[in-house]
Amino acid sequence: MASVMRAISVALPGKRGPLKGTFKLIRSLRRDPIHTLLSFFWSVKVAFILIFIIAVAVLIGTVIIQVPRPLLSSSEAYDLWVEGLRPKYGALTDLFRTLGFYNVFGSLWFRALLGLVALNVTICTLHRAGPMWRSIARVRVRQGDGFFREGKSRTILTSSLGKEEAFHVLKEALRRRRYRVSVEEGDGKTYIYAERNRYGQFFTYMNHVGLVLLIAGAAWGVLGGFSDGTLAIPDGSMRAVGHGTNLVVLNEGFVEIDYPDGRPADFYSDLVLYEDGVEVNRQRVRVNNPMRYKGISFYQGYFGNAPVIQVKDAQGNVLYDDGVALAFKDPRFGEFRPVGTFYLFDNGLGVDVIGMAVNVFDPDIAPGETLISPFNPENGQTFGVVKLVQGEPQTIGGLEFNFLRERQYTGIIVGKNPAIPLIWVAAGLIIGGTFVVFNFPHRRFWGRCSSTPSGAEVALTSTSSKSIGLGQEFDKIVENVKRSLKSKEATLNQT
Amino acid sequence: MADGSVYMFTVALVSMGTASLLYWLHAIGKRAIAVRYTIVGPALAIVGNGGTGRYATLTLTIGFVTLTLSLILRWIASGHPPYSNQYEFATAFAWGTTLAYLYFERKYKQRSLGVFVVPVAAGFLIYASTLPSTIEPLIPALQNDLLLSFHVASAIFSYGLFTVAFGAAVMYLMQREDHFAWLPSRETLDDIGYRAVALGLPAQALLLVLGMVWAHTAWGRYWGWDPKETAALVTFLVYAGYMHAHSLRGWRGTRSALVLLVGFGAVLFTFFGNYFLGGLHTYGGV
Ligand code: HEM
Repeated sequence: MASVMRAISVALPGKRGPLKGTFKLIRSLRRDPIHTLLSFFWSVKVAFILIFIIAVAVLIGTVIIQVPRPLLSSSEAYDLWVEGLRPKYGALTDLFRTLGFYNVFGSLWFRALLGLVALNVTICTLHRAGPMWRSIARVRVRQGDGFFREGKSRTILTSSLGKEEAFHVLKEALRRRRYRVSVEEGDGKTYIYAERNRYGQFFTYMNHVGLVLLIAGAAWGVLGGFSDGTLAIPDGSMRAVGHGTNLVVLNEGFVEIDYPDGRPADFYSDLVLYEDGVEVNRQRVRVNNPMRYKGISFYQGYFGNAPVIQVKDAQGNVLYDDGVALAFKDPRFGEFRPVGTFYLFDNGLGVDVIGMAVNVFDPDIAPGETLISPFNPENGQTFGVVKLVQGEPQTIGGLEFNFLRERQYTGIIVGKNPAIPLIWVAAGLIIGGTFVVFNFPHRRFWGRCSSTPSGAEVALTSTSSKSIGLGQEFDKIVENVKRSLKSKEATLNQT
Repeated sequence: MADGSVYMFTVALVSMGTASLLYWLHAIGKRAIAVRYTIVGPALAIVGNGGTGRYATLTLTIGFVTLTLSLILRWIASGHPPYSNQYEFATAFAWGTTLAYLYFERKYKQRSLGVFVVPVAAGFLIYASTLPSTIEPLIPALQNDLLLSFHVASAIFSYGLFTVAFGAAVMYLMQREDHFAWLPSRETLDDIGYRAVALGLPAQALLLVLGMVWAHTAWGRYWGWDPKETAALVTFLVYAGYMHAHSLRGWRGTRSALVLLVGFGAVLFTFFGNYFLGGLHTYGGV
């Protein structure tokens, strides 16, 4: 906390020491809260500190393991997951949890930071707009003697040419380098003001508008859209999309084609989309080629096994007969085993179906076998774990469970993000803005030509602009002027 | 085709290694003149000045041309641009660095800049030579030629430019009070660093955005805080910070040079990040 206070006090102009700064901040907040807040936000130092904190937060979120999103919906699953980290993080495990370090990017404080940056950049740029505009709006062409004696890059050349001719040389040299020039006469001298990329500075707005839109778009996407990775559909089965839609997806079949070395070459699902029972779209969905309908997109995500389970009651009525996509993990059943769940709501029963471990040897489950674990959805109480062998029905609590056959499921990511066009516009603004601002800097020079007994004097200067390459640009112009003066002088001498 | 690519790679590797040596010799030679005319001085000067400098550039250009050919032949043989594994990307990184370097060498007529930049490029080639260079078919997520080509191209340009900025920063830190006549002046080095970032930053913004577009079409989300994309974002923030410090707070010299070193650290972290961070970008394999 102390360091934050120090940061804030450092950020405010003219404050020394964290405590004094804080008191002063509080006092001025009382006196003039709006101005104090605004001046806090238009401080560039505050911007640096904010960005720095965000960079650190991002680093934390990258280095510390982040909780998989589906686990966030259940605090129990989250607890279990955090326990699993204890061997790794030891005493820090709970501290990280309290600070929200396992879910940095979804946390309120991280989003608040992004909001603050957006606020900061908005106020900061607006604050500077006035001075920026004034700096280019009314510029004096005629400048005093002192002005030409200052400036980071400046020079005074003499020539045997007349004033008018020398001035012409200067003007043409500037014009040739694409400067817009204004000319004024006064006290027998000719003044010139040359400017290029006049509005270059304003392209910083492109960046900052882009940044604000990007943050706004991200917020809009989170609030106004959804992304759901849990739609796992066995071959031949249908699943409802949910999220307030009346959409249902049928998976007509998932296909995976492998290279000889076993890596996937291609995988796709043939999906059919129904709205209110009417077919509205059908497509072969691949990675990089999603199906879209009314702003909702269906992406090919993952895939895996989906055993078909049949459940009959004592009278032989079929209560359930469908594939169960083993698309999830549940630490209770082992780290590497895929798990799926189906519900028999009329019987007040949920059933977890557990498959053979993936990528590692499974001592308890062989191919052609699966475990089931019925539970009470009301209170989560389980009724034990039973092994089912394909084609060998077993009766549990008066219901007959049968593992009929293996199938595959396709995992579809369903997403809706109304902010996507805005995000692309914002991104384009940032790319274009950075390119233009840095590579087309605003440049200006002031020149003056006066008569001397031996001919003319040409003075050229620039104010100490912070833009880079100014010196080089200046040298080039001076070089050009010198050269033209020389050649004109030479022709003059010949005639 | 694939064999041709390997031969060209080998030639490039040797040329770039030799070029690194020649740039050092050139610098040492210049230094010998600069320091004083001892007995060794003039001797080294002869090796080091006009001659070696030109040979350094020539060798580097040969390295660049052969590396270009190697990449093109591989592209033809594999049917896709160099983005499917670490070998391809390390090679492309070296290529981008060399291109950016040659551009700056010509523009500023400063050969001694190569002392730190060319070895980085050569280092990436050496690193690439330790990786399996077999051509592997693309997994489905990578089967998006156009988008990925531009994505990787912008990575190559921005990281190449950032490497040049890094070289300028290192020399800046060595060059106290324009002490070493054999090094470019501090002002020039500061300028080179800034220019390289001025070109590299938009390219990196493009890199991030194309990554976002790709993630959006492939996985239905434009940003997933995947370690590699996150590292790239941090890199962007560091260089954006450098630019703001430069123009708003007038940061020059040592402080900005240090930021450039941090930035280059971030570039390397992003490049090698998948080794210790995992994430989606690992599927290319090593
Ligand atoms: C990703 C984020 C950002 C990008 C790409 C960006 C880009 C830029 C660029 C290209 C410039 C022109 C720099 C120059 O003239 O050398 C600039 C200037 C500036 N930036 Fe940013 N910026 C970003 C974030 C911010 C933030 C968070 C602030 C917070 C206050 C900020 C404040 C400013 C200010 C005050 C200027 C100077 C404008 C002027 O000329 O008066 N920027 N920015």
